[in-house]
Amino acid sequence: MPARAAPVALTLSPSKTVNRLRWPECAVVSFHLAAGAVSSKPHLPPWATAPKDPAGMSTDFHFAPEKEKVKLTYTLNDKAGAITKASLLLFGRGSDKPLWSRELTAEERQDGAHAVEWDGKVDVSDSFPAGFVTVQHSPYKLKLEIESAGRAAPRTAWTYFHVLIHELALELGPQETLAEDRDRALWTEFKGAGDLKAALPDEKAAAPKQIKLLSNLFSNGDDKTDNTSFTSYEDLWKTGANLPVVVRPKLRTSDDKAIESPNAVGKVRFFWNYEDVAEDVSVHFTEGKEFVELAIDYHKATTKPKGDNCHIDRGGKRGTTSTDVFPDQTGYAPADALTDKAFPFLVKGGTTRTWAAYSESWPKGKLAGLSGVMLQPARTAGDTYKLTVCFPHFRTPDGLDKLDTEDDAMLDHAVRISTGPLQVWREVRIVKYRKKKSTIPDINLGVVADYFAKSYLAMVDKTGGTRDDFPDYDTKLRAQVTDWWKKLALAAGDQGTITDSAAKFLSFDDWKAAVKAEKGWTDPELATFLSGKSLTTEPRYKTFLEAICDKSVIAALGDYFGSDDGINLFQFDLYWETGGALKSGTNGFASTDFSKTSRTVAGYLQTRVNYGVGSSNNMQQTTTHEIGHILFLPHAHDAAGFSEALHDERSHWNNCTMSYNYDQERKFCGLCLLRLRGWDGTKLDKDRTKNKKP
Amino acid sequence: MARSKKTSSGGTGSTGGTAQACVQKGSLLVLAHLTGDSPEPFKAGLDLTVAPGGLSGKTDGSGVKEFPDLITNTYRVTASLTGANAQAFELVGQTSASTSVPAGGSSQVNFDVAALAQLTVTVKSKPTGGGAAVTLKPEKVSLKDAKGKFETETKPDGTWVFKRLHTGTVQVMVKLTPEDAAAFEAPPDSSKVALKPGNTNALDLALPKLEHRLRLVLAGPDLKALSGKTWSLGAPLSVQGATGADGLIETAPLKPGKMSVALKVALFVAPPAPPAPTPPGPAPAEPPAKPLYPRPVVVAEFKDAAEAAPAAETVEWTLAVDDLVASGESAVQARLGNLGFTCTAGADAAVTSAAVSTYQRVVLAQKPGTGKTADIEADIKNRHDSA
Repeated sequence: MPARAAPVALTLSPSKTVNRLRWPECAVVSFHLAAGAVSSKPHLPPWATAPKDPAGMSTDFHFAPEKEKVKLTYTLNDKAGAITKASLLLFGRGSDKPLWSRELTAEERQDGAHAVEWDGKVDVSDSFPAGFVTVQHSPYKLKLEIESAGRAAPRTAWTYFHVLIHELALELGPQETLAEDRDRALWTEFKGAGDLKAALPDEKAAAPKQIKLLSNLFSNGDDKTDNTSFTSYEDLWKTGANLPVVVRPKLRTSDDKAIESPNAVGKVRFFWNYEDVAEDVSVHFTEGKEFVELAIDYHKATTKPKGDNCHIDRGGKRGTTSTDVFPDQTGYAPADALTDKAFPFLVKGGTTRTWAAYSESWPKGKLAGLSGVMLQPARTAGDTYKLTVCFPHFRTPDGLDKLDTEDDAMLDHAVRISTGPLQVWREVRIVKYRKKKSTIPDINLGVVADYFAKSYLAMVDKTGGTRDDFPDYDTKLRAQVTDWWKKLALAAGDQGTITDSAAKFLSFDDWKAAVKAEKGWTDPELATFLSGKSLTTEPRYKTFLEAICDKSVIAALGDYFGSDDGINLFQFDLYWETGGALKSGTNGFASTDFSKTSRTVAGYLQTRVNYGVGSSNNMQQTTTHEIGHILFLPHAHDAAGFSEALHDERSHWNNCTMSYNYDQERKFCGLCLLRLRGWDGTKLDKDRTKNKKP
Repeated sequence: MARSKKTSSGGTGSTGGTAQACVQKGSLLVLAHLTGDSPEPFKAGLDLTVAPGGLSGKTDGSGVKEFPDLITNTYRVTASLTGANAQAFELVGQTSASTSVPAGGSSQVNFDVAALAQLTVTVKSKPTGGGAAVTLKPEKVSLKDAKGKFETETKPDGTWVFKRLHTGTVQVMVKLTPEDAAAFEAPPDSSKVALKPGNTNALDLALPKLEHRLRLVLAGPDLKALSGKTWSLGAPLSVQGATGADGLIETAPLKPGKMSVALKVALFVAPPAPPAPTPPGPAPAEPPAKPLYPRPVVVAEFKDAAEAAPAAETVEWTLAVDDLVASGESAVQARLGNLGFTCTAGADAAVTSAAVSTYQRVVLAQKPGTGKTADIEADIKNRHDSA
């Protein structure tokens, strides 16, 4: 230290005056943070006299920046005002460079005890984009350092503090993050009327929340025995639906309460894990359960993660190599507004725990403090996921952690929260329901839906309960009958009102008489005509009438389709009738001949109400069967065009819904159930035992 | 001690009392007392005359004189001191008294005599370095006795003798001549002397010669004296030492005048070495056996530079001797600097004001301070200048 100039006086005896000389010296006596009844631990260099621990001293002192004020509590010994500068220096781990520093004011560096309020605010910088200390760099070492023209010892004191995440909350992410309309529609459906947080099932919820993938994909007719059901669904939903899921962390206050402080989170990583929730097969009838149980027992214990969701081999995502349920995302720079159709957060899959992923939070902007992933569950219905987001208890100075391991126990070392089960469903909609007359009893669509629900396919009645009729039906029907002899078969009167069936015809005798009269033929001439048309007998006449309906009714109904994708349901009481014993035996059918049908639009006629006492068949059975066709299911043995390969073995279950075996209630066989779920039918065997691996 | 005059006897101690038939006679008893803390008979002999009758006599070694066979009458007794007694004693109170001598009885008269004192005052220089003392000749020496009575000035003739003083405590005031006053320390404003009877009382004042010394006190942060600090004053003084409890550094007498001297003080000692850190044990298990949040801070992860222990340190002042003004702004500025404040004589207003404010806040506990030098001048002069 340089010499100090000191003007002094001589003392003339007997005076005893002196010249008092004092060397300027100063010191930091102590420094800690205080909040309410708790304080951080003060530290001084080891060679200095250890400071006294303040009341309520805690070695894990923490607070919630921005939302909470603590007191920078320090004492300076500076009796001569020698301190020329005093600074707060904030250090993170792993670097000798302060993350932030602040020079104390002249008043703040005066001799004595000080208590300066601080809410964690710091200068905006790359380290602290939102201008507050954050979880990102925690724990911190906050050092008080003085400079002096004189002697300063000790010139530093410090304390440590944490910015901790106390708890996490999950919610549905913003809709703007979704790029595709199908996902946006799904988002709206999934969110429902509640808020974003309520959209996700609570961790304790037992009942899965459905993620319903709209699947109005219908057979064109000849595609029931190939794999179109799988490929068309694959084409539609590809790697799965997208649902943004956001984690909203809350910080821990000094008194261990939770509080949101978005600007004090910083850029940290959250670890997203999912669990494959075991499938509940108890919903199935015995044979169906047996088939499904074996099919889902497929490399169950060896995939990553282990579980029974649909395996990647069969169209799902479960496998030994990662198939992203949390796809990588590049994210984009934090901003005050979201970029439409872009996912905001950086997401990167786990290296070891390959089915998991890390996401990075936004340190500022509209989504400050939040992070998230794009949940992309497999499209295969019935797959059930339970999401967990973790924030590691310990992060290395570079922000990494050890959660990325296959050891599930490691997840205990994290602040975390899970969703309740999320289950993938397919959704098929009934968009129009017309009845010939309101007196015709309704098909119980709830029963129908229950059959499909076993395959996690929601048959959703979108009609809102409206049952439309067939306005101007007579005109539309008669317009489709062109041949004169066919026209003569239609009974006179308004076909819209004279019958509950789709068409009323003359009896065989009456028709023959009408033909004869129409042409003025003799009996031989009539006989010649009938012979030429193969209409010499009543059974042939019946076939003739069925054919007329198959063409004209189907054509006429083309005008009665709704405008939305989905299934149009047309209900009659009999396909046709003559008023006598002669009538159609058709229960109902799904036709691909409707003018409006397409891959996304289908129609179905229910044409029987009374199936006879004791019959195990009924409208619901027929409806389920026919919609099964619409959904690419072929007949089971031995109905027309059946495919044994696409059904459970008859020896195991011979009453598939797609059969005509009415001796007991028909239910979808196991193979149908899985195909309806969107599984790849080509990778399944009708022999259920072959579907289990190993 | 004053004694009440007793002019007639109550009969006790009387030598008479027997009636005479024709001429009534009695006796007269005169007692001389020496006053003082312990009164006693005046042994030196008090001269007496009695009228009428023209009798005379002298008290004996017991302080008594009896005049027997006096015709009953009223007599007046007169006492006096003569010869050496007149110089050494003084009658106190009455010097004559009337008394009636009763027939056949006796009458008693008492006289008090006080012993006188003499004080010899000598003023000399206080010898230093083996030199001889020189008798000074003050311009004036005064004395004040217990009754507030100043004695008459005595002319100097080498010594000053105050005679015929009453015993007891007196104050002596000495006024030096201007020449001596400039060369010697002033005598006490007054010197108390307890006079005893006689001429052996003496007040000898030895006045040191006036000397200039450099007196410094090393102070710590709290402005209290620092003891045990070794110091050295450089050339031209070239002395060294260690401070005592009073923190004082004092030089031998100096010739007054400006000079620059370096003062070095081993002010700061190195702190004792801290206990050896506990040798690092095995690294804590990661993850710990039980979830632990937050994980305790690992000090070693923080890489900021540690503050080294300060070394022992000798500090240096450059003393500008005889350069400290007594009053005014510069006086305050200089003293602030000497007391470690950031200020020097001639510092600008802002610096000075800041230093004054600091002084007011830290030393005087004034918040806020005025920052004006005038407001601390008296206080800082006292703190800086007082031993």
